[in-house]
Amino acid sequence: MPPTPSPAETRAGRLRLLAATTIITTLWLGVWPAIADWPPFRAQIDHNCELGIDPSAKFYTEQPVAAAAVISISAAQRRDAEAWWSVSD
Amino acid sequence: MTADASSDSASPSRRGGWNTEDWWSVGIALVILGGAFAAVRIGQPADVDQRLQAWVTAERELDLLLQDGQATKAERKQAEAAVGDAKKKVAPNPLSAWMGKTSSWKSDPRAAFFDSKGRSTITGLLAIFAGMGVLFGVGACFLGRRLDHFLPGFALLSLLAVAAQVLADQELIKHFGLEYALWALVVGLIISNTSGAPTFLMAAVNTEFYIKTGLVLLGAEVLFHRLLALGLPGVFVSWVVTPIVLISTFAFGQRVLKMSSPSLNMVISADMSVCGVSAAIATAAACRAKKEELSLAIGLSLAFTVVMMIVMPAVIRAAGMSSVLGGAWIGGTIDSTGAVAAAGGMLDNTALQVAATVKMIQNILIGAVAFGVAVYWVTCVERTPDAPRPRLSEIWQRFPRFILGFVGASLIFSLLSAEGRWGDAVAASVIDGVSKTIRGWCFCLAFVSIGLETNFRVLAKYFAGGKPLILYVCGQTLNLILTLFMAWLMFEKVFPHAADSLTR
Repeated sequence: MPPTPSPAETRAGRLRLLAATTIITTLWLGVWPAIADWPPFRAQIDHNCELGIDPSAKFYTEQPVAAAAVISISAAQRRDAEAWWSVSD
Repeated sequence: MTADASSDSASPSRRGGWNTEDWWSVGIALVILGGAFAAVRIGQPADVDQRLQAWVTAERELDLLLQDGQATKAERKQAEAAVGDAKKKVAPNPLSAWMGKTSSWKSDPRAAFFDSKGRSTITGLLAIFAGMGVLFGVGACFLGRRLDHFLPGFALLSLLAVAAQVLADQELIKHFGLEYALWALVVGLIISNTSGAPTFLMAAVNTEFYIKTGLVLLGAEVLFHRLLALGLPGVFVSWVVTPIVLISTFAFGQRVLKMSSPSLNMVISADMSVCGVSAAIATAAACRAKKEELSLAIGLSLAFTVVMMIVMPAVIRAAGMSSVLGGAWIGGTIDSTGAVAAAGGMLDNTALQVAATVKMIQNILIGAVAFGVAVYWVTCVERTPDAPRPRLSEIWQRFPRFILGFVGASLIFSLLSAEGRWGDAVAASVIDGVSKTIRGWCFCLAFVSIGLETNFRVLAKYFAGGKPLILYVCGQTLNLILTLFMAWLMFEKVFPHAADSLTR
């Protein structure tokens, strides 16, 4: 069992939590939205949205563009199966 | 993960019998997958044959359009979207409306609780966490926890998981591929290292339970026939290079760097060579790595992912590489699945498609990696050097059971998906409609739990001497060289017509 914190430690801990929450709130509501509007980032974010890219996907099933890629590459393979399975001379 | 990280949860896994955390994880995942499958079957449309025919027709129209060779980019995209839509209509999932998730937002976080059509997702979130609370609550109860203690803690843990996901959904954060796993860790770490977590919250903190359940659900997404999606060149780039890099990096860490923790070495080697966070989670669970080791490996991987996502497209352009070669190089080397697509998209559509497909094939590898690592750990790493090779019964005794659930789910869904068009559509409906959302929340709950149980000072200890960083840099360098060589050999020398057919 960890020792029970003193009232002063509890108060200090709560103040640190409040400070961390304030920093996060400022960054997420003020700083990141402003940086996102910087033209190079804005262009890239819009480009990703347009192509259906989710840059935070953890697995291919979370990536909308993966399904589209499979459809497109399958079509290319149906058109020219030899090219994908036979070694070129 | 190991007992010293969580004595409460590791011990049940090692007990004999069926009432263990591993089997409960498998059971809960099976209930979810089975329920989703039953919902798809019950909700099967009466005109399923016509819908299957519409899918075939959409595919034929796409083939005709491509044969013609005159199609514009927009026409091609439209025809491809029609194929995807036709497939979805074959097996709609009535449960998908209840699978709450948050959405991307820019400056107002309230937007995270509305979907793309402007509908509130709060009911769905409440439904999904209520369902998960019941399933995990029953499991926790049988594993010796008190339900009346577990449920209030689970409610707060769920709120923290949603908060972490909302942080990850901010568009700039999302753009840099900084996934929810990182923010879930941050949320937990902030609480545990400032005010401390309230006791009732800790009653629901059970990292392994959430991770193992999430992994069994992830197994359903590991569809083995996807391995062939990029023909033979894809197999060589993804399935030949990746195991070589994984094994070489692990051996380098053990023999040259002499890393004190083989499990940290393995988790970093796997997340760097296979597919980032998801591979780290799977191998950490398979080799019972400590929670701090998993956190460190993920932090390292995400930091390098952001850099590589920006640098690699610039290098590829400067070197004048073809889109196919550049895409394959990106897909085989950048850790994170999302960042791979973002980096490929910075080049062009062909590079994007190749990069996303190579990474998808690598994703499939985590099934084999997790199984292989679990067997290797039980037979070699956990054995004392002078002890005889363990017998089959001993291996079975110590083998993590949830890995069997993971592999079993993968085999069942691979067979279903490969069975034909109907099976493929049903598997996709179960995964896209239900299991991947619940799996995501399971991992999010797990990472908040890790943060709540971790002390900053303990985390710093694992980085001592910078060995993890050296391991990552050396392994990634080998990965970059081997992948580039193999992609060049396959797409430019051995199968040049395959690359041509993609750019045509």
